[in-house]
This record gives sequence, structure tokens and C-alpha cells, in this order.
Amino acid sequence: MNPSQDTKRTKKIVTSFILIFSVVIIAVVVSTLSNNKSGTTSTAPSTITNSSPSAPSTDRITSSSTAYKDGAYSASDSYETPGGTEQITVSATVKDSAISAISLKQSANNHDSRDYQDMFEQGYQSYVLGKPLNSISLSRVSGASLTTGGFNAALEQIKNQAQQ
Amino acid sequence: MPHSSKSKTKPSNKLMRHCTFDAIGTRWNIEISEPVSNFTYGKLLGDIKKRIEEFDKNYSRFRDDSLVTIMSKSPGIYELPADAKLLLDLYEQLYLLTHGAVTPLIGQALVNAGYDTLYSLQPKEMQATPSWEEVVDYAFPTLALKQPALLDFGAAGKGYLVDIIAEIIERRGIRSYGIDAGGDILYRNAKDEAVEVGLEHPKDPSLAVGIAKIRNQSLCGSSIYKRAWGSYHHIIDPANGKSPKEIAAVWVVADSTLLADGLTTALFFIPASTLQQQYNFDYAIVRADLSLETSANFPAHFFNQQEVVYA
Repeated sequence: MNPSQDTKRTKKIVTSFILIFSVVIIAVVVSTLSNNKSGTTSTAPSTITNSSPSAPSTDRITSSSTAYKDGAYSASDSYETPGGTEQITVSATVKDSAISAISLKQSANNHDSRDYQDMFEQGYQSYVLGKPLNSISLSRVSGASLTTGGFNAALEQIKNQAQQ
Repeated sequence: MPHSSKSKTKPSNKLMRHCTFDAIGTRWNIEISEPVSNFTYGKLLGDIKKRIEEFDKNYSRFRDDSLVTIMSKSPGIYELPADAKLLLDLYEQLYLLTHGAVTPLIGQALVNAGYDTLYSLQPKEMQATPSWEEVVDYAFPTLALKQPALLDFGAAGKGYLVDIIAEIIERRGIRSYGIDAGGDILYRNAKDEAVEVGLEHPKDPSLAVGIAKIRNQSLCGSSIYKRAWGSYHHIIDPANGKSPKEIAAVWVVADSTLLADGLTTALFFIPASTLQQQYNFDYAIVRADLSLETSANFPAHFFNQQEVVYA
């Protein structure tokens, strides 16, 4: 294969991938924040599902800042590549109003697409994910220095004052 | 707590030992993982308590009678304790490498932010932190203070004390033991066995983000969400008087706890690559958006999607 052609093609795939990827992310964010789904984006059809039974359906989530409900959310989208149509799914877990986990699921048929999706996935996997400490039963834990005595008591006092 | 019953067949009182106590504002766990007699263990605990008291009396800015409190009130030339060399040498190096961000002169800023002897946690007006050159003339064994200054050794002092306690334990011939000072951990094992340590999620202490495995090394961690009040936490940038917020947690694995502890703080301010030119260590950084950066050989496994299951 002609090297310049190859580079061109690579560039094209990366560009289209980044474009589509941004659309998916925007779609997830906008759909989660807005109850007006039809106004999100006019590109490829995207479906958002909430697989957590306790959490409300996404279209009841309002745009107020504290309205992220705990639960698992996911969005899928399909996009065209030089190698054909590919599907991508982004899943996010919301805990305490913050995204505590996020992942990508790929269904690429084309070899190049698979490589690029792998690259994206590796980037995404470099976010830390929390696992309940009591499920790994380790006697030693390292994080912020455990505080004893005065500091904690003082902090409690400050919090109580703030509530009065 | 010795509770060995005097067995007729085997009159040995040698046991593995574990003790927990509070000192220098944190919880300590010391585990001796080889058999030690009641006599040796008793002596050892006495030595450790005495040494912690001595260290606290020199370096704690939280007590009125400490050396650093006395120094803060009257400038002059002070003869330093013998153990000050390693600590001050590291502080001097880190001061230069971080362009003044890691500095013992941060004491007054911490007090003004409310991290004072009474834990008032009431921020007062911030003053500029003076430079090392303005205030300190250090040439071991002396340290001259050219103007009143409250020294704070919070960035590396605890780690250093862990190393000092390790030395005391080894003086009793013990080679397999672990010291955990509120998450700053030193682990020694005669058979080079590893110990697993959970890495606490910076935003949720009930979760771990991974498991580190350390063997004959030290691991220190720091996170900005504990020891935090108002807009401050335990680290303050002397350049602007604010607590840095871009990094949520840092872990460092190194051969000494002093170094691991000091580098943990330094990594809040400068890129790891700068420090790696100078020191041998591995690190993991979790930024505020929970993105992760680690050195190539940081000895830990971070949980992936498949391993994390929410109820």
C-alpha cells in the first residue's frame, strides 16, 4: 500500500472516530441533563438505557445540579467508517451525583476500527474505579493519612456550626 | 498484650506481635511477624514510645514545648538533633527541585489557614510564605533562622519517623515486620514475601481503586479529601496560599518511607519526570477527574470494569 495513502486513510479514520465519539459523549451528557431528548442532536440515532432498577428512567432526570441519580447508564451509537458500519456503546455508573465508572464497548468488524477502538478503550480504562473495601478484605489500606484525635473532632464541630 | 499460657511441654513465650496506638495525630499499627519473647517485645515497645515522644518534642508544631515552636519565637542559630540531617537534607533538595513549593516554611500558612494547634480550622488572612534563602541558613548540624519562622515537617516527618522506628525494631534482631502509620507503610520480610495494601479511593474511603504489592519497601499515600476543611487541605502551595485541587491522590513506593512521604507531597506540584531524574521510586497519581497516571513499574493492580460490581 502506498504510504501516503495509508496515512491519509489513518487520518480519515481517526478524524471520523473522534467526531463520532464526541457526538456520543455529548449525546450522553445532554440526554442525561435534559428531559427533551429530541433536541439533543440530529445525527445518528442514539439510545440511552438505564439498567439500574432503583434509578428512575433517564427522561425524568432534570437539569438541576443535584439531580444525577445513582445508577448505571449506557448509550449506543453507530457510525460509518471506510470499512463499514460500526457500533459503539458507552456505559457510565453514577454514584453520589458523580460518574464513578465509565467504559466503552465496541463491536467493530473492521480490523482498523478495532485497533482504534482499543486505543480509545485503553485511554478510558485509565480512570480509577472503586471497589468496596470490604469485598477485598485487606488489613492494610493506604490513602489519606488516617486522622486521630483533635482534627476529626474539630472538623465535626465546624460542620455542626455550619448547619446551625 | 501477652497472653501466652505457660505450657508444660513447651515453655516458650515467643509469639508474633501486633500493637496499635495513636501518636503524632495518626493511628499506628506495628506487626512483628516473627516470634519475639515477652521480654524483647516489652523492651521494644518502651523504646518505640520513647523515640516517638523525642521526635514529637523536636518536630511537632502542635506542641508548645517543641523545638520548632521554640524556634518560631526567637530567631537565632540552633544546634539540630542528630536525626535532623536526613530530614533537612531531603527538604532542601525538594525545595530546590519544586522551586520552593515543598518547604518547611509553610508552617505559618497552614496556621493561617486554620490548621493550628487548636485545630481551629478557621482561615485567617494569608501572608506570603518567605523563601528559604530569606529565612534559613542550613548547614548541618546548625540551622540559623534569620527571622521568626514556624517550621512544618508535615510533608516528610511522619515517613521519616516510620524509618526511625524500623531501625529500632531491627536493632532487636527482628527482620520481618510491618509498620503502618495511618496509611504510610513500611514492610520488611526476611523471605522477601510481599504484602498487599488496598489503595483507598480518594473520594470514598469505603472503596479501593486497586491493590499494591510491596516487598521490603515503603508505600506512602496522600489525598486531598481528608484533613480538609473549607477550601483547604493539608497541602498549601506557598506561591498562592491555596491548596492544590488538580490532583486527588498520590502514592509513592520507594526504598525509604522518608523519601516516599516527601515525594508524595512533591508530586502535587511538579511532574514526576523531574523527580525521577533525581530519585528511584514508583508512583501513581489520581487526578480530580479520577484519571490515573502511574510509573511503568508501580507495583499495583488497579481494578477494571469487570472487577467492579456495584450493588
